[in-house]
Amino acid sequence: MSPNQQAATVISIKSLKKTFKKFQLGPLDLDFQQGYVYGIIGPNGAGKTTLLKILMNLTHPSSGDVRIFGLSYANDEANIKRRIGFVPEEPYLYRLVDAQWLGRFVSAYYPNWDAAVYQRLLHELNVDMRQPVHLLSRGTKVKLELAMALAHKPDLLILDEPTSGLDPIVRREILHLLSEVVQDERRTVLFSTHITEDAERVADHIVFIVDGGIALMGEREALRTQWRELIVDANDVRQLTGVIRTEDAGQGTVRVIVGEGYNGQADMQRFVINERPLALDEILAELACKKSEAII
Amino acid sequence: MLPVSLSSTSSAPYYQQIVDQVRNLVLSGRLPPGMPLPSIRTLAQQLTVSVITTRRAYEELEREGIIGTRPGAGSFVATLSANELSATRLTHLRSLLNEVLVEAKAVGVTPQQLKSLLQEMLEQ
Amino acid sequence: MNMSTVGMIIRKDFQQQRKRLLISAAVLILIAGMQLIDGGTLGVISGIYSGFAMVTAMGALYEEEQGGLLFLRTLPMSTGSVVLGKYLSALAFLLFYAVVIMMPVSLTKQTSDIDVIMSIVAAFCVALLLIGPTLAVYFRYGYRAIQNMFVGTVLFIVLSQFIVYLLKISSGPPPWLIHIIEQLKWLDNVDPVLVSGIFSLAALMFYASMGCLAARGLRKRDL
Repeated sequence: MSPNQQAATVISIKSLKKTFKKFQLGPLDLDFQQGYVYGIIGPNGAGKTTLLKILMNLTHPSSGDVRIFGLSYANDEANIKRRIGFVPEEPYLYRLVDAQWLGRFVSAYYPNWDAAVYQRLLHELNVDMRQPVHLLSRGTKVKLELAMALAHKPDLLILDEPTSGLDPIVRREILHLLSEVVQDERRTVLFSTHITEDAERVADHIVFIVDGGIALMGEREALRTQWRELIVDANDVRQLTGVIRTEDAGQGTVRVIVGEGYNGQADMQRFVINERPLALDEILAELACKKSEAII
Repeated sequence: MLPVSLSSTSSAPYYQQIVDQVRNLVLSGRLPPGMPLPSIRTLAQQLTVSVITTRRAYEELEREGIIGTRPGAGSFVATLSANELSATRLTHLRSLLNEVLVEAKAVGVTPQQLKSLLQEMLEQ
Repeated sequence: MNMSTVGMIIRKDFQQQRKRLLISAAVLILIAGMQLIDGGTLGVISGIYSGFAMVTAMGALYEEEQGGLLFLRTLPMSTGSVVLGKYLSALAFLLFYAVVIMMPVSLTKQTSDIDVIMSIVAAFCVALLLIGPTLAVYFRYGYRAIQNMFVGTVLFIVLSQFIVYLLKISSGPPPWLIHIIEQLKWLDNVDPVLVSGIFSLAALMFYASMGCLAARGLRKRDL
């Protein structure tokens, strides 16, 4: 496992646009690399679900190009979908069937389906195989969907708000499972969420989507070193780069929010009296502010 | 398992914390030479950080000569000769002392004051 | 296309709709029986049969809209398979109702009574003609779009029954209608089995072509 391996591009999105009556997603240009966990964060209505549906070819783009595994949906829909596991936001499942039925049904479509893995996952996640779907709680349905998605060993796992509305214990179970998935570096995970703490825990890269566009994309750790809240002397503020906004902090000091362009090391460090990294939801708030300011 | 513990409130980035802690563990002998290290992905999961972070930490540690990597066999603690060990320890102390010197200059402490402070502390 | 899973879908649809199917079957037997005792007509049987078929189809489609369709589209399953499953399910429902309606028929008349057989075949064909396009519209435009169609169809059936009733109690059908019926009289000379066969085949072909249209529509659909 060479540390300097160039990761392959799993998803390539070029000039993607989807126009609705009151909302437009895009134009978007971004790539997703193999072997990483991507957290897609944004407020409700920002376009996260639309983006994921387009990646699954459930919704068709108005314009632009999407390639997954180097293939396009126009020519290779089945080939692409055979390698993707998808967990939607609303667990769309037939009401009266049970996990066993679903396993048998779905297994016909995936050559890599491993019934033993399916059973093991259901057991580990405490999902009753013989209970009809409509009697399962939302959390259990999500776990069932996850088991179905993972049992065929997908190269790409896409989840839409997998932890939304779930209790903390179930959330941890699911997040732990996601980090297990990428222990195999050939697999990639994409999940959208508005629960930023979950992305903090497991994501390698964060994509912020605000108002149908990508506000920011970066490595989670890099964001920690760039986006910070600093206490500096009022006279030293001009020495800093990447300043977003400031406010008085008393005793001649200023509270500074810094972001892109801030280099947290060496030359800046001596001005900093106190500091802390911004949480992802704070970064999102700053980005959303910037967006609405830009509109005004 | 590596006895590393990360702080989310520290101003040092995670990869730096890993590098510093592993360096100390190796220099103090807690991680013996030749000991195999967890893969970057396993470590990332253990510490709940990004694999990019652990990869960066291992790259940095390898650059410093503290760990080595065999392609296909993973990373392990480097076997450092006595000279290399002391050289590494001194390099590390040098960078720490450099921070003290920078800080001293910034707050206006003279080299003389610094020397007497060090003297005083060494005698304790 | 995987036939065993299509089979699973059809069985699942029957299981899912079983309450509706059983209740509809019971009511169908009741109403059809009453009508037949009363000297029922082809139109009545068609109407009742189609009505129940539509109700069942709408019920099944409502379930799909609640998620079944999106679930199937995330699988590496062709749009053709998805559509085929639904069209065959609906066909199975129609055959089920055809069998069900034979029960009051066998009680009130002889099953070999050719008029009655033709009535049922005609009802079956009418239902195919109604459900084929309904499913196609559903796959392309969703459940909302066909709710209006459904109301329209029910109204049409009720209205046509009403019109037939009016014609009965009035001085009889208008001249132009008599003229059309005269034109169709030549059918009486043709072997009724042949006529039923041809109409059934035509209806099935129409149904199948609606299926192809539905598959194309589904490919364009945004879920």
